[in-house]
Amino acid sequence: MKKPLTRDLRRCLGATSVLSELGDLRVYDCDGLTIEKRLPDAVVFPATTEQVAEVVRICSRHDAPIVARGAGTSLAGGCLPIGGGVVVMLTRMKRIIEVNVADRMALVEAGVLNLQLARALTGTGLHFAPDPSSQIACTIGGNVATNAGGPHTLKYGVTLNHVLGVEAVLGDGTVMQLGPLGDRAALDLTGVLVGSEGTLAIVTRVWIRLTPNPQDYRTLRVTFDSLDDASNAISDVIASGIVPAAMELMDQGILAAVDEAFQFGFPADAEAVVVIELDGPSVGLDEQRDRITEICNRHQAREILQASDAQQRALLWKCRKMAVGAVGRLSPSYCIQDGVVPRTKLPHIIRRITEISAKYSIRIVNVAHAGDGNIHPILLFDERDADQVQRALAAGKELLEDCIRCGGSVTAEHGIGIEKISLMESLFAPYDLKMMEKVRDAFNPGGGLGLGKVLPSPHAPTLLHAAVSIGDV
Amino acid sequence: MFDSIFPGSETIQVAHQSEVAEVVAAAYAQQRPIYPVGGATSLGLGAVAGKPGTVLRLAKLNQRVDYPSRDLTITVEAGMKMAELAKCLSAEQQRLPIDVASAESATVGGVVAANLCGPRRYRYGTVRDYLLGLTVVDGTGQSFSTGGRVVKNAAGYDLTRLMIGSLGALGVITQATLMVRPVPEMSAFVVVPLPSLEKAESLLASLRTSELEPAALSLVVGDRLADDPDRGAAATLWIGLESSEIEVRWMLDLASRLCREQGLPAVFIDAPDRVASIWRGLTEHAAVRPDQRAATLAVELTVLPSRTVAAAVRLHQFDPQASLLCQAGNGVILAWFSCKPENAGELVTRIRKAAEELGGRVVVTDFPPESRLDRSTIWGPPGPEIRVMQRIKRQFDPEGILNPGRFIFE
Amino acid sequence: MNSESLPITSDRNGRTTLQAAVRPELFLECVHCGLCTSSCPTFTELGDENVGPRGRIYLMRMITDGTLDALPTVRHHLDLCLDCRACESACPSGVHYGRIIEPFRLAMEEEKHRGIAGWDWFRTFVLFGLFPYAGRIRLAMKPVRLMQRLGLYDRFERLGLFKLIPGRLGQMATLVNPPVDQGPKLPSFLPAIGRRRARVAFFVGCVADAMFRHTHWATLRVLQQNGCDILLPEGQGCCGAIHFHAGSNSGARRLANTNVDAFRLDEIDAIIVNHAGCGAMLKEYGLHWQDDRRAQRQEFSEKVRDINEFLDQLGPVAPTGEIRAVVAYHDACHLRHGQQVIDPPRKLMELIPGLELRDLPESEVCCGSAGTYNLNQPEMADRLICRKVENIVSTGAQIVLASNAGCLLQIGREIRRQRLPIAVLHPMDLLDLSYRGEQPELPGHNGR
Ligand SMILES: Cc1cc2nc3c(=O)[nH]c(=O)nc-3n(C[C@H](O)[C@H](O)[C@H](O)COP(=O)(O)OP(=O)(O)OC[C@H]3O[C@@H](n4cnc5c(N)ncnc54)[C@H](O)[C@@H]3O)c2cc1C
Ligand code: SF4
Ligand code: SF4
Repeated sequence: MKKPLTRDLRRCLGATSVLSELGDLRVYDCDGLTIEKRLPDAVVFPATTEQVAEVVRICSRHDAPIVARGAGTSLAGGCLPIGGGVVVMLTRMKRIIEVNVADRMALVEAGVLNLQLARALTGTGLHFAPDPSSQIACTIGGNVATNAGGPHTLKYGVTLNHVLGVEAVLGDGTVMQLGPLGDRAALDLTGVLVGSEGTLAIVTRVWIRLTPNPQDYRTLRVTFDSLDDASNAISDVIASGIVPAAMELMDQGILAAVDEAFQFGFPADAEAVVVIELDGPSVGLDEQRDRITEICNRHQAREILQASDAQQRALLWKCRKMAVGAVGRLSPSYCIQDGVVPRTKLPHIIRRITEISAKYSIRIVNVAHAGDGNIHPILLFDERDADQVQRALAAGKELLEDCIRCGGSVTAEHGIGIEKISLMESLFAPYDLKMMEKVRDAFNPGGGLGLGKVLPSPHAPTLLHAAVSIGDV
Repeated sequence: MFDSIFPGSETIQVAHQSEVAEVVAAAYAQQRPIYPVGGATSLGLGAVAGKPGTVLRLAKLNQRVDYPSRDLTITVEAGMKMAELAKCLSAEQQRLPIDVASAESATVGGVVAANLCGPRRYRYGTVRDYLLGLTVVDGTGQSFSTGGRVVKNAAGYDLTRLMIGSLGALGVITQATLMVRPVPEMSAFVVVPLPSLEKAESLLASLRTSELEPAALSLVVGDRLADDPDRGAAATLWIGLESSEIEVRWMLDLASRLCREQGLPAVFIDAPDRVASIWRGLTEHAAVRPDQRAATLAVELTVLPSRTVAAAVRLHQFDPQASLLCQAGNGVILAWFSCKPENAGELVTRIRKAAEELGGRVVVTDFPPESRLDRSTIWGPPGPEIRVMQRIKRQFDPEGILNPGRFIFE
Repeated sequence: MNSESLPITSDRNGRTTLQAAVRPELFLECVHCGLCTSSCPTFTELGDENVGPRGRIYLMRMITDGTLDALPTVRHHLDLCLDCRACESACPSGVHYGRIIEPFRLAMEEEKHRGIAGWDWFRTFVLFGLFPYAGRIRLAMKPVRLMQRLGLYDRFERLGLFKLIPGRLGQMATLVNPPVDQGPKLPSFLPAIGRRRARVAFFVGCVADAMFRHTHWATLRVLQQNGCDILLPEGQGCCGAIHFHAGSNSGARRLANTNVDAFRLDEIDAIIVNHAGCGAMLKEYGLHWQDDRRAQRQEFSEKVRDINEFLDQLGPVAPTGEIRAVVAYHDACHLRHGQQVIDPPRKLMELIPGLELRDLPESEVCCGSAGTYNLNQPEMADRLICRKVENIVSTGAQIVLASNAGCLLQIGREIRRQRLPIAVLHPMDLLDLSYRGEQPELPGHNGR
């Protein structure tokens, strides 16, 4: 059965755009989440929407599951080829088709890198607001599929708020264009596709809303002796009615890693640093900064520094953005969690993280898009030690259940993938999930796209029993 | 009361969310249509109902469920009036920056279902950008929840977005959680009377590419606002500015400089009463007066923002008497034509053709009920994606009892 | 987990085996996040994880673990790596990619060339026979240089006749830069001009001496202007990079030891090198081999400075000669990613009055030269150089600068091929002209 599949794919795309030898497939057995691995039967590199559609049709003829893959930076196992089948790489569809400055929009192919777009926009005075920490590598298609966020989500919103429309291929190979003009005469299918993690359609093109660059910035680095003070200050800033462009928390553990990587000179003994950025017309910024300074001081901030120029600002952001990656310096394996709580619950959940870390003796370091109540506790372990893996997984689960209890959710931006399927049932009632299934069936009747992802199903792997040694397939 | 839109239907009033489920479940069993109605302010949107059924009035479903103001979110029942919501939020210096006409009647659920918004959408966006979660009763009478109460959430499919603008055809919304914003310190207007519609083109272009981030860019042609300083001008551009006082003052300066560069006079308005009255005026302008419905055709035309003026000029050519309210930053034009019922269909066809030439889309938002426009005239011809929408409709409302015939579906 | 040295473990016969080539801990530094992929030239060209850094690390790890055989396709993916180490700059986890791929490839090469079947004339005679010796290179270049002088070269190139010369030799022939006045043989000492600020030794190298002696002269004059006494020790030779990267481990070590012997470290403040490829190699002498001379090589490495880096640290004497030209600076991989020298050359160029330095898009992406890569992987090298030149052209620069012989040759060839009116120079060439108050020769519009 596999042979005819690859033969058909080759016929359609040409031999150089289809991989099917064992030696070529192994690197596609996982993405940024490495605790679970599955081997695909083939990997294809379409160059056009029509080729994507043709691939989908071929797969549906052969009953082969399909996984879309961009840069493969998913932390939720979204690219895992469950049940084998075909990995559709969007990496060769990376044309920026149009940048329309007057209307503040752009049309790009799904494989365009977030950073590539940012670079192409220099000089236009516009930018694409979602700025995930994986910005240097991730694709716009991946951002759309996961509804990616980033530090500046606080003021500017997530990917959803910046997508005007998409071109997408459905499970039966139909190509549809949604948007870009706001359209009342329809259901907001774009809104549903954003964040659907490749399980409803393969996104091939995206109409992006571009945001004007702010005239000016004030970027503050606020150091706190206690994590508690830091999270209380953040909560107070939000409640005060100021909307900073970003408000990011880094704790002592992560600061150590960042400092090792970039020699920024963070104080080693401080429990937390909060990066707060204000942006907008210059005239209004100092006043806002002063209000924030006052709130931070009320919460015993040890030191408040302001980036003095664009270079310092860039370096501060680089540290924040690379923080997650830099954790690799602390431990051979890590699992970055992605919980979200109502913003006033931030101090509570941060305290809980400390407790859970002690309970499971798993070291946890923290970064957080704190202004949104979005925490990223990073659990450190060694994947070669099965016991540690189990404890890390259990700690992560307890933490997320706590988020649910606070009225939050188990993922704010990384998605469910395969990683969090088991939590879907704690988060949603059975009938809520049933409705989601109905939507999936409407887009993707055979279920071939993104098999075993997002919703509980017999195909979903059970992670707690995952094989952990690298190379175990 | 609703006979012109839901001929032969009875009316049921509910006061608890659980009752909604009961009523719909019963209707599902009997395959009897349900027509959900909130504040009855947007009933002109959509075709006249095909079959008699039950008009389900939700306005009594108006409780505030939870308002953790420090989280900047609020959860309310769907029948809460927009004005009531605004009042509740203003006690905490917060607001939902979505303007809808007849806010004393319009309900939260209705605003979501009809995806309404007003002049501030340029800066603040639409319902899509604020709605965090919903509770909905589907076409079988079962209740489900979407989204959540946090401002960022990537768990599962975003059924919340699916419900926005679904016009009661996928489910009856019973509760909504919204993200809210602090009320800005100051609000002001720069008003620019324009000698001709074309003159708006270059001014808008320079405003859109400047550092100015106005809350609204509304171009009014034909019928004027009561606050208009120069009703003799061919058109008036209202530049709404909101932020801290110091920023607003800076923007006022910048805006007037840009106008001067174009040789256009600009009037400042910053007295709070008048500013509030203008926001109200721009918002209410969108409503069709009940006494004029019988002879008015209202359309919403969407083009790329840079083509707004070109589109307005075209509409003006069809009928120099037409009134236009253009959200020029978004490329959305609301246009009203006085029109005899028998001519409505043909006029829509001509407008749609013109819009398509400009790459735009048209939806009829109100029309003389007598003209009985059909679905494809109102909503325009569907693309291949309609198949997915139909499948969703069948999944959510297997018996087709929710608002049958009103929206794009059978 | 920090590995101070590059471990090369051997099998019972003293030969390196693939499985034992890399210490397993080095793999663990990689957390598989994928942030490096977009910096990798081969990944961005082909979009295939197999030819991106994360994929390559994964492949080598699986071979090391014994869960994957070193299949021919796998070897091909690894061969296609430029060893440009852009991924290392991008990696937030601090993965030492070079320390993984280099020994691994060494082992692959050694395995391949074991026995007569793997014998490769090009490798034996050309790479190892020619490159260490500046004299032989100059001799070997003679026919090409003669053709250039006779104007035949152009016609040959246009007709594609170099393609008739067997594969990699033909590639090499086209690389040879057009003749310039190379200047006389280098002396053994040059004194500082003005107050003496430092005493340095200069590393001459092989290709660099044969093809870029004029740049050596420029560099020496710049050093003099900056108050440096310069020693040019006898007995030094090729840095060994070509041997090392082409898999001749022992040859490389021999050359390294020769160089270590040639320099008297206690007499000098620094060893100056002006080509990035050599510089990166010299700086790694202390890392590569475990034997009783390691400490000595380490001391040597610690004294090595790239010329740009050195001048920047010393505080350059500002040049005064105005040069009105638009220039773009290309980051040689071995300087930017290998030595993390990024700003100094740019800062130096900004000192030249009148010079306009424009940002080169993707300046940090490899030009495809990568040591002998353009000889072994011509197709990928071609794609990369085309992209590079496209970017150069987009800046409108009249001069493109690079601090590395390989880049200068690779970019120069493509610019000649496309007949573009752009000069290809080393930053020291330009700095020297400015000190001397002279102007660069800018090509006219027919590409000459
Ligand atoms: C160090 C690190 C930091 C991160 N920081 C953030 C952060 O700050 N914010 C954030 O939101 N995320 C973050 N992420 C997660 C990840 O980078 C984002 O989810 C990103 O949007 C994924 O993009 P990608 O191109 O890598 O997609 P992939 O990983 O390739 O795919 C992700 C999912 O989307 C699907 N998909 C991809 N392309 C398409 C397409 N064209 N059509 C349909 N489905 C598709 C895949 O099937 C998969 O389910 C981080 C990841 C890492 C490793
Ligand atoms: S090499 Fe570094 S950047 Fe690349 S996947 Fe590994 S850890 Fe991530
Ligand atoms: S060294 Fe260069 S070519 Fe090799 S993997 Fe790293 S970035 Fe890619």
